[in-house]
Amino acid sequence: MSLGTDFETTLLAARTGAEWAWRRLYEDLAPTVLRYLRSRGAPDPEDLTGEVFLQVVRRLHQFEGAEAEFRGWVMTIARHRYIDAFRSRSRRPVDPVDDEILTRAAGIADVEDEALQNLAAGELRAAMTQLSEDQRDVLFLRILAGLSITEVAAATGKSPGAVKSLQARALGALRRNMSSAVSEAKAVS
Amino acid sequence: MPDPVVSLEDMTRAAAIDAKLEHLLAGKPPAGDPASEDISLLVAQINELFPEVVIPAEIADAHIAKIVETSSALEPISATQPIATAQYGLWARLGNLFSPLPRKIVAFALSLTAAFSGMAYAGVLPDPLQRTAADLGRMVGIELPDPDRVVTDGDDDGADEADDPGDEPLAPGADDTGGEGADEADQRSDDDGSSVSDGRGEERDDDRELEDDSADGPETSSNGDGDEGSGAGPEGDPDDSSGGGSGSDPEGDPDDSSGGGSGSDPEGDPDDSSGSGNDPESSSVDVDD
Repeated sequence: MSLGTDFETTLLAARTGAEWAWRRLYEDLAPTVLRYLRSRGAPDPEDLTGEVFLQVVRRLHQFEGAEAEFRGWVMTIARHRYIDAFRSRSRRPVDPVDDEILTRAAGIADVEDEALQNLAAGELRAAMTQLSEDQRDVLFLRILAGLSITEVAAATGKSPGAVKSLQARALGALRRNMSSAVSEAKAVS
Repeated sequence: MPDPVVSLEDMTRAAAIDAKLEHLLAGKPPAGDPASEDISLLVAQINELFPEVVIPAEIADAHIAKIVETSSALEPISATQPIATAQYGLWARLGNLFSPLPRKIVAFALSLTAAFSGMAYAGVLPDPLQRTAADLGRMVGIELPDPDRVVTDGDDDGADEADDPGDEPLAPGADDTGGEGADEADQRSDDDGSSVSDGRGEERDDDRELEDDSADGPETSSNGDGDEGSGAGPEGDPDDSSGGGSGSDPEGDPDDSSGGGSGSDPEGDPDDSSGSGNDPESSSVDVDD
């Protein structure tokens, strides 16, 4: 999940359009991007992942920094693309292409279904819906994308203190909701 | 939406939770801390709910092909950029000149230069600026009004009076309150460039004649009283007193306003408003000489 010392060389090669460099960057970052987009419930997350990387290609000349910054930068683009897609979907509710691509990605759908069938996962998913958008965003960027507090702050446009607070409240709310769900389940059984 | 206000307690708690989460994300499981175990459990559940996915090779290849295509589509643009710059560089630079901010700066500078040039040509700039503008203009062969040159042309010895525009054309001996006298003095100064020597010379000639007269007898010294305007002593030339009060008045009688006041007044009588008073306070010529 990290290129380490090869990052600078890879990035330089990517700037010149080398296919091997782009393949390495894609294989390193695309799973995290896709995971984040799926966790946020983005429509057509695979296609969106491709769009994120096309945006990275177009804006690579604007980027300066090390691997951690690059990761944060890519996740910022992913978050913006997700927001754009969410807005466009709200304006255009039905997109038949989404279903086709979801069907093609049958393996991923199976994993998702398997996770949904899990009771604990169902409770967690239910508890997740109780969180605010900001809390979910911070939690997913922090846990699933592995960004630091500073990187999450940069990606979301909030202060590090606010990110820490959102994260603490999200975890606290999840804990409370999960406990109550477990209690209810025990009471029912 | 602004960030909510966070209390100190919340901040402390948030920092503690973040520290625990950092440990968890770094792969260090908590030991014995129930709160940390709760967080650890939550993180594990979230990771299970959204597991790491392997993008199918088919989709990955399609994405990478599109990425490389886009990247190579950008490359030819940068490769041809030097040619485009060489061909259209001048136009591009001119275009940059007329982008909004430089356009405003250039317009402001041009209008400022035009206003300054117009004022310099009209000679209405403050003296130091006008002088500088005239000097600069002279260097490139343009004659602009120069405050220094206005004074020096008309009055050779009146440099100390140049600052007062009302006194510029006046001879030192002329009084400002006497309009005609000033005009006459002005005329004289324009004629020969020596406004003092003419009028003053006559007066001093008169004085010399008086002195000559006084040499004839000691009583002539009392004639210099000038109160009555009669400089003629008992033995003096009656013509000498024809000027009316031309005798010298060393006492500087403040009441002396008589007889045209052409007599010498070394005390600088402030009340003396007569037409051609010779006041050493306002003249560079020393009468005692």
